[in-house]
Amino acid sequence: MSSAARYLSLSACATALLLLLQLPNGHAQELSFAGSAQLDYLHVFSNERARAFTLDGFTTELSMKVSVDVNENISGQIKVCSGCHGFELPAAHVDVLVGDFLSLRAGRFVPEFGDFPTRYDPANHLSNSKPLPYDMGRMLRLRDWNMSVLPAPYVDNGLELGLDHNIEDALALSYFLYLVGGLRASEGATDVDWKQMRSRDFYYVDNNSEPMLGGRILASIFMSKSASLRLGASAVWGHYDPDAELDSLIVGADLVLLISGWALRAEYLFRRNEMALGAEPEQSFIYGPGADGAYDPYFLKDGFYVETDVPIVESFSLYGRWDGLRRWGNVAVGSTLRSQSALLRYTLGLNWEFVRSWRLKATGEFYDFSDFGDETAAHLGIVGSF
Amino acid sequence: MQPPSPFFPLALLLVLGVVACDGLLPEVGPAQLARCSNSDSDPATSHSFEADLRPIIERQSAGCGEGCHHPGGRNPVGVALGGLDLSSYASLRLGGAQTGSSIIVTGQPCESLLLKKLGPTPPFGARMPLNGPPFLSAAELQDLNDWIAEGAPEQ
Repeated sequence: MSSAARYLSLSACATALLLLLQLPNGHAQELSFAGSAQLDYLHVFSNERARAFTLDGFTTELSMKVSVDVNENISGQIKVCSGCHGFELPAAHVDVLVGDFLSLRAGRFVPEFGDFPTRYDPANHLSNSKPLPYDMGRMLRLRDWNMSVLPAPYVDNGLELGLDHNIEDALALSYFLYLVGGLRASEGATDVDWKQMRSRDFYYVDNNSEPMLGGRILASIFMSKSASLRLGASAVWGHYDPDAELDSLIVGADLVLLISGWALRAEYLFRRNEMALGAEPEQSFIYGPGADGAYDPYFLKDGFYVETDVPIVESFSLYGRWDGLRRWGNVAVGSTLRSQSALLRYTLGLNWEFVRSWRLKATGEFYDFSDFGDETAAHLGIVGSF
Repeated sequence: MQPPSPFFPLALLLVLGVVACDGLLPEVGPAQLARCSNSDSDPATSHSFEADLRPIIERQSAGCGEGCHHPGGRNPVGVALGGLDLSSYASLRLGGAQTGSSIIVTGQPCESLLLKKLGPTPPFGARMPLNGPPFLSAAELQDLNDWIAEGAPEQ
């Protein structure tokens, strides 16, 4: 795959360049600025030493975005944000529209995967925390679990091709295909290194000179003026270690049902992740080999969420979510997990939009761990966009 | 010949995903090593930074001259890149750029990033010491585990 993927990347870059050369020249016609801010406080009622296993207390998330429409076909966007992960550049890309149905995105962006990453900004969702399959740093026991299946936003450098296909007024299909730098870790890794993914030392370089290949299919069904259904499926695959020997496959399916202000969203994510066993796996892993006498060199991690929000009275919305994570496979020495570990979380919340685009968020969360004691936590936050 | 349904690619992807996952759960044997525990494995023996951790730091830093994590060292790469100064108990407790004060969570070795970075599968970056192998032995890691479980005293 290695050399084929590199040739594919080169071909994609050459195609993008040719498309750009075909488009008319233009100067900046429209410049727009937007941003959002959230201040959130997390308190764990059930544990006085929560600081040991989560990022409790205050967390501020800020984002600022500048968009430029060069002409009808070309636009660009730069977005910076800051949160518990430090500073991030989730967007620095150029979009080229060819006709009304084909688009090309090049630069640094959030690749199309699932539904939640399209609304990962705190101003775009009613919960204080992210769903467990996408959690980046606000879940309890985040280090024990090495976070989620695919922490959002997953930002990467590369090219993304989009194709819109309207079958009729009631049905639209969208296809996305992308080549990006990919997930990262050091040599001999047993999981993706999410800190290295965001390290300034590695921001703009690939760690193994080999891209990850991903894609998404989205079907939007418009049932009436006030009701719609979206169904999506996503996948991304590639090697994540410097030697390009360990691969990671992530697949997902998502559903969004919107009916007159009521929303139902559900997603499922699954990751199969290879691990480096090392020369002495009996010294590095807690569990011994399987019945065939060999160590299985991978683990599986999956997660889901189902959430709904409904307006109850003017400017107040009720929010509920049920989400979970599971992990199967051997665990490294020092881990607190077992070969089969699970986590379920139940969340109930209330949103109050006290000024247009500014909301107060309050949620309560109950964590049901298979390997640790149950925990109860609450968030209180204020969020707005401008 | 009928054109394929627009939902065909979606259905194909879902079917492929289910087929690929079915029957592929990783298999493991019985546990051969203990899971991380926050308890002190030998309460009768006391541990301290000066008696247990400093000798390990000084021995493991030999490859960096005066010490990878010593700001006065000839090659203090650990201070320059990771921001972690291990020259004193106080600077250790401050942690590095990635770890912060979570480098040692008093009484909770399983949550302490110091032990995770010294273990075979660090959650980020490379296993320490960087010039290993050799790495810390199981007995040394257990001593560190017990030191943190005892409250990570300096003396």
